Amino acid sequence: MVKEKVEFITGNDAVAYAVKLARVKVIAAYPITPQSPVTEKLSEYVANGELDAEFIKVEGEHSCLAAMRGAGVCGVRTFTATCGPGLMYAHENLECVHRDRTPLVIAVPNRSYSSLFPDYTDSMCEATTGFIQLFVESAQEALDTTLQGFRIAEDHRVLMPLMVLYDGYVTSHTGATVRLPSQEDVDKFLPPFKPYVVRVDPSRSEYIQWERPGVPLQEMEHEMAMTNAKEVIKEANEEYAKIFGRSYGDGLVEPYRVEDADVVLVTMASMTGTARQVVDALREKGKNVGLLRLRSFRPFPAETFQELQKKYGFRAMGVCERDVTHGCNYG
Amino acid sequence: MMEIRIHGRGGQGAVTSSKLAGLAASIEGKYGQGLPFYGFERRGAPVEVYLRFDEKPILISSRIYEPDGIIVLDPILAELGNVVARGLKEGGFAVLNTLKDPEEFEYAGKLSKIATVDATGVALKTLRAPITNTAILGAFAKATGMLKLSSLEEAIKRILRERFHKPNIEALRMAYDETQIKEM
Repeated sequence: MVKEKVEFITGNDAVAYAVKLARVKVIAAYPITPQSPVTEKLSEYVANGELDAEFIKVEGEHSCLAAMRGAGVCGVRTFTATCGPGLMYAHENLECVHRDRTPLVIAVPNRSYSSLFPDYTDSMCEATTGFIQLFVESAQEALDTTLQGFRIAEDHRVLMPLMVLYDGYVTSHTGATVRLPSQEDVDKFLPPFKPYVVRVDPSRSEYIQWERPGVPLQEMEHEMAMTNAKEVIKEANEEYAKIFGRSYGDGLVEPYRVEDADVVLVTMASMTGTARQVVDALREKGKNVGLLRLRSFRPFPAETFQELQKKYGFRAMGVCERDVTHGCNYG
Repeated sequence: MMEIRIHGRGGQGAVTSSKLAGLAASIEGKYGQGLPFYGFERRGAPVEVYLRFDEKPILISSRIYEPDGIIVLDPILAELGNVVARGLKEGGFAVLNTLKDPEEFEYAGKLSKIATVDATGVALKTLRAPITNTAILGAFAKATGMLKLSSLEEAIKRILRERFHKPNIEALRMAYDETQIKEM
């Protein structure tokens, strides 16, 4: 029987709680709205002794990622949260993280560049940086996915960094009923981080350069890791369901009322809740509509969409996005 | 699903009232959602918070346009029907901080129930500050029976700092006792 505690907390607090349960060892952070409550809560946990971690206050997100890379190559579990312009400012170091094969986890309450409200400009800008990107619908899923995230990223078949993405304000600042797992159960799901190789001894200061294959071979390795990640995401989703009783589709895509659907809407993150209600309302009127929620944006599960289309036979998919790329008719 | 819109002014504790109500519902085994509408908030400026209760997880995340009921923490806002009663469902309810009689509100006609209480007076007596959130929750509990006083007290103990427990529980109970309910 799973032990859990029910609380009424925001998505940000749910993520911070998950990070504590994950026994993270290094947190580097710089404040930015709407992320700040995550790392504020974590600094409280560290200050009052609930979390035994190093909390590094950095002067910006670029340094934040540099600090995390350092911690990552020393072989410890590492976390930060950032979003919007902060995430973009970290871009240069984000791009390096997957080349180190350090499985960092970053929580991103999505935020527009030009306003405080949620759109996906920030995370889409970083979709090519080798990060796994899992978009979540609710505060509960943000907690669950943060725990799954460490397990997925640290899996030796993957060893790629990961972002947990949820909508700024809508999920980050909305109070919700959230089931908090016990430390005992989380320890069963998420073992301590076993680095594939520890490359740096932090007690010695030295310039390091490790052997890496040439760029084409590197890129092939990363591609294999991302392909493996699809299976590992599915496994983590299944294992999590066995212990905690919650799962999200197959981990990559979550279908909703797609049986006999003629057309389906493809959504991401918090807009899905509202879309579910619309699907229910249209179904009541006899319209055969359904919904596919894309959870894993990177790796992108194109074959899962194809399989679902074959299985359910819907004629068309409409995509609803919180993002726009100007000049190419789509987001 | 029950959808309620909370109206208050910055500083009266509207957001905290949604946290208390949401936690109380969670303690009772229900699901809650408290969605503050973020604008440029300043002390004294009108604020809105959307509150939902359900027996199953709540996934909708839109604002509430047609509430089943309203909770108003401020006596002047309560009189602005075009603000607080917009979209309010026929046969809905209102829980108001006011010294006026229920019939004096222009929107009373379309409601099934109005609960009134001098939440400002209660807050000044108990908290010595016009923070009306816990008082209005006492009125809400009495008017609707949707939340138990005991779970609201538990929520106060879990969310507020210890020195605020006693006066807020006092405000909750005093408002519960003083609330007048008028079936329309």
